[in-house]
Amino acid sequence: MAAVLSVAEVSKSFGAVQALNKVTFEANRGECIAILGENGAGKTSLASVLMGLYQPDQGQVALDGTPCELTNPSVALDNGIGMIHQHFSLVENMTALENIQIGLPAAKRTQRALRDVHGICSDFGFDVDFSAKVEDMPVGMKQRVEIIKALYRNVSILILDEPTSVLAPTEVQPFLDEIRVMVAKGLTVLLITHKLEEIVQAADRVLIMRHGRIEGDLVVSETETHQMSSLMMGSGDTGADLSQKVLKEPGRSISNETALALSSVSVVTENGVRLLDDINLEISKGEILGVAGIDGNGQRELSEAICGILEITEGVIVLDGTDITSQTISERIETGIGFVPEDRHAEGLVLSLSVAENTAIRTIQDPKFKNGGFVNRRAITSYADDLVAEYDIRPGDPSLPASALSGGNQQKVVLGREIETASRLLVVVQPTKGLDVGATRFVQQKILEASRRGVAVLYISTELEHVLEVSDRVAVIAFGRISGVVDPTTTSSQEIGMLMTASKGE
Amino acid sequence: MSASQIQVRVLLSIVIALCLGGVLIVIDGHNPLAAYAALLNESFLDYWGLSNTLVKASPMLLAGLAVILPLRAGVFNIGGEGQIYMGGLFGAVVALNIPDTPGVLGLIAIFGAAAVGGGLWAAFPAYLRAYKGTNEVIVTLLMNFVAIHIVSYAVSGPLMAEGAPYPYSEEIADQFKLPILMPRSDAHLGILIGVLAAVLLYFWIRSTPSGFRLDLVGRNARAATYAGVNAKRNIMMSMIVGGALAGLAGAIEVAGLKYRLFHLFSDGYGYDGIVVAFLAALNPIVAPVAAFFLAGLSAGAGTMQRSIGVEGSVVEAIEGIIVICVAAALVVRKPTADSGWLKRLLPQRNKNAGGV
Amino acid sequence: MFGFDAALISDVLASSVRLGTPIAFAALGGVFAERSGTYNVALEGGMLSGALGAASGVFITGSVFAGLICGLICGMLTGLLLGGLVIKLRVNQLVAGLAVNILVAGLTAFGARLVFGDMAGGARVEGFSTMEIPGLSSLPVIGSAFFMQDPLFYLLVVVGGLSWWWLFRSNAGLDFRAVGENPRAADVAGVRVFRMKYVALAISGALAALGGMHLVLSQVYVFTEGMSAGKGFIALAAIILGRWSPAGAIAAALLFGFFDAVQFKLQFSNPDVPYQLFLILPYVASLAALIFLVGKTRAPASVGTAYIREQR
Repeated sequence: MAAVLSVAEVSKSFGAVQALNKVTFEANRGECIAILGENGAGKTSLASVLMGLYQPDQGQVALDGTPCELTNPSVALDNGIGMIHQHFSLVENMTALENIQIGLPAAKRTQRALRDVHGICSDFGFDVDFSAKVEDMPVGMKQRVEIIKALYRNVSILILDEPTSVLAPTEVQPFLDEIRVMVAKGLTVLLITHKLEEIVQAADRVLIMRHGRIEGDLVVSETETHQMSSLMMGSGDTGADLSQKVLKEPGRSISNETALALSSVSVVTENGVRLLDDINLEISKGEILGVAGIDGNGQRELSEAICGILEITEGVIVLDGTDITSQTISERIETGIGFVPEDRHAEGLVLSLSVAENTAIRTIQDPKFKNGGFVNRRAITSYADDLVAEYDIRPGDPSLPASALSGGNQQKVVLGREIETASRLLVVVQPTKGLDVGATRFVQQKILEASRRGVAVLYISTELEHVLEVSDRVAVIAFGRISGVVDPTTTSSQEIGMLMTASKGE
Repeated sequence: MSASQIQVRVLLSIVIALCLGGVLIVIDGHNPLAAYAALLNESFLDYWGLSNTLVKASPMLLAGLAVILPLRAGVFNIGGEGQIYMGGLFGAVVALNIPDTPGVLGLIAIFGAAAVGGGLWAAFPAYLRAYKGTNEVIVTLLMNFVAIHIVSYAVSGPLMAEGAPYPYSEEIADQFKLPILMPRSDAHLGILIGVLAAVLLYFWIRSTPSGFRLDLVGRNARAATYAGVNAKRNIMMSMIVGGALAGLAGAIEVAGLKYRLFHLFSDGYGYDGIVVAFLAALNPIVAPVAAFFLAGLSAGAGTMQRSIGVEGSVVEAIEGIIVICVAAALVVRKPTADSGWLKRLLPQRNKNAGGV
Repeated sequence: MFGFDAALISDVLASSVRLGTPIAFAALGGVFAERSGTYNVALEGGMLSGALGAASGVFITGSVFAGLICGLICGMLTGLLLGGLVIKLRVNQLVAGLAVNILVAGLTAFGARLVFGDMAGGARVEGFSTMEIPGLSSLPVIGSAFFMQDPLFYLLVVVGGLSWWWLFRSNAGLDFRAVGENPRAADVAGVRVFRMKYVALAISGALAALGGMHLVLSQVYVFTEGMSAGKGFIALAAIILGRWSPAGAIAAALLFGFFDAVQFKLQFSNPDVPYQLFLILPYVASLAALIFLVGKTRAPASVGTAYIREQR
């Protein structure tokens, strides 16, 4: 019998980035295959190809042995492939039953036809209140509505993208059990995840992806978890010691004076979700504290809490002995906090302004930019000229609008501005995103220079190698908690991998 | 888009709109070139015509600035008309109550009161927008009608002149009447007040830290917040100052032209302000030119009708076409190689579904 | 003030209904637009274009029915123009709506002179007369208010009912509401989102036009420049007060009509009470509705935003 889904030599690249590199695997009826990998490993690209969102450059996808051109999502759906995204496609103020009906042909909307929906529920053991509005449902039930929506459209292959990331801890186990029921009923489930314990519990096989390749196609019951995490981290086969690449000068001395101290900092949403959960961190003057972790585990919230953008619900933030917990954003800027936010387009830059003006947006009140109370554009321009030269920003004309620069150069504008103005604390999030190797090195050197001036640095990144290269200590963040603090010179990728995927209580 | 690209697009839009307006003139059975020539002559080159244009330009300019400044902070002030009425009311009440005050002092009081009236009228929608998230467009629109009726009540009730056949107030004292710029005409000092305000706004936004920050809010509110700018306070400030400018326009109509407060004294200048703001592409320093142009169009409507026989309301239609063209021109993205302009006008289905 | 004079109450009610009908049509049109995700600030323009369309149609052909068709077409064109600007070009919805209003105000002023020539403002056209519903019209108090109206009012009732049924009881209506709430979800589920949005604005424009036509064909029998006089903006508030439901919007519009009717009565019967107070009432009520109901009621979730399919 042919495999339900077979993917053969599928490649896809975006410019110079090889998102998928000759991906080949097969999936059978009644099987759950986990897809494991770091951010950017190609998991989402693979799912997008199967959903018809991306067209592969090479290779082909076959369903039940028949080659298939998946040109858009509705073709994929017609061929029985459905995907549940992390962001649900549900209309919040409609009931579950209404949501299931949207867009269906009239024949599937009759009272009689809709009885099948209840059949699906009892078959799979879903407990859903169909007359309740989606907005009033707990997240877990919303997710089931999405799944029922797919099943009612006769989906045979279901792709789940990080399905448990939105669930409360208590909801995870029942959900994994339901995956097993779906599989037992003959469904093929592709489970995209980075949580090893879920793979052990729910999956039959695991595909481990790295840099767009499938590094391993293993049977879960025959594989140790540390084997999976080392394949995911990519050093399992080379055995290279990560600490060899450290950039810092040997014997670097760090003051034992504390600069930033977070005690018991938590951010809890109205719904009770703990975005940050009891964070305790200290950074000394001149120290670089790296924060490693898989994307979306509280990195953004941590940076925004420190810089005053996100109000914390519990805890205290102290900088150089002063409690800054209730200071405004601009007060913290004046105190000497530099901040490179994650999304430079939306948060770091005003694209319609010139590069020169962008170098001054956070510090326009600084005396060096003023001349008797007025904005001194000449001073801004000459400052920007220096910055452009210093950071090799191209094209080197600060009068151009920021939108005219490439992503990497835009990033350098933000980095340069913040690194140069941070006098006490520098918070950088994904600083090397979109930079090439040379620019990455350069930025890391600049951050090191800032630390030598005595600036405390919080270096948040999902690029583990980069974090290890520059940091004096590395804190690992997982599910809004600091799951451990390690010494980059002695740690191993296995250790960090386990910390990254460790949920609460492990 | 750079400032010069924007101005080019606006000029192109005006040309397109004038061409489309020409089509309307042809439909009306006249020669568009002759009509436009007459308009140019009468509105801009003729002494009396020019004075008439200037009279209209001053409230249009201030009303335009009242739209421009809030919009630089990302808020739509459609309430210029109401703010003009409140400014006129406040100014007139003060003027009628201090008839013996010396001219300059009195004018300062009148214009100050007008600014307060307009500013207060704008502060309410600004507060709702900044702190309650209420849509400012609908609120300011509705408040226009409220203001018009308040003035209507005032001039047909407590302020009504004795024995007046229509609802209007007593005349203000002679020393409060704005000086005339062009002898024997109606062209008064108001236009200079407008130009001064435009220049001041330009330098405020361009050359002061507070103006710089206000502009940041309108360009990218999120980045502005990250840069430590208090967006709500800037929304309030821009609306209040904008309202105050519109209020000044009201006082100018009273002290410069009519010398009384009339029922329906503003002829839709608040809405003309929206057109001015568009034409100026939100640049205060261009606003005087835009207001001058629009006032010329509007003043020329009547003369065009008299000299050529073209239906004067064609000018209103042209104004409408200009606004549509400018609105569209400022958002149209660079056409891609595969889409001709005609194709862009038609709804496309599924075109990008297979893309990235 | 009025005492309990049944005839007077009946009279005020009847004029409330008559004065509220144009606003009700426009508000109903606004419900369609906002339910599909678009603010239709151009309801005012839709009314004006419908008014001129109807007046010209009747003037040229002599047939009221032809005028009705002509007005509907003008209204739809106004809606589709707004659609082109906001759906295709993605101009800010409020800017586009205002721009359409300014354009329509100018074009109708010009168009009126073209059609009616020097008679503009005075060219009377045929229209609808009162149609009595036998039996019901003799009911006390409400009889003349609701059952002795012109045909367009009955059309409003029918269209209102159909709209409710279509929006909340039909399959297409469910898909339609999904578009306004979450266009991405509707798109993924196979609904033709963009087509729905254009259709919504065409309907919206046509309904607003009916409001304008009521002014011309059932109230004053002439077209005058700017005759919608802000009713399209009051309709925007009626939508909110009516919580985006057809019945609610119509009820809110009739309430505004009531204020207007009282104002007229007062202006004639009690000249001591400033009638402007009652002219202001609809606007103040609208503002109060905006201020106190916003936050408590919810607009369709996607209203005000352009749907960009490529952004996944």
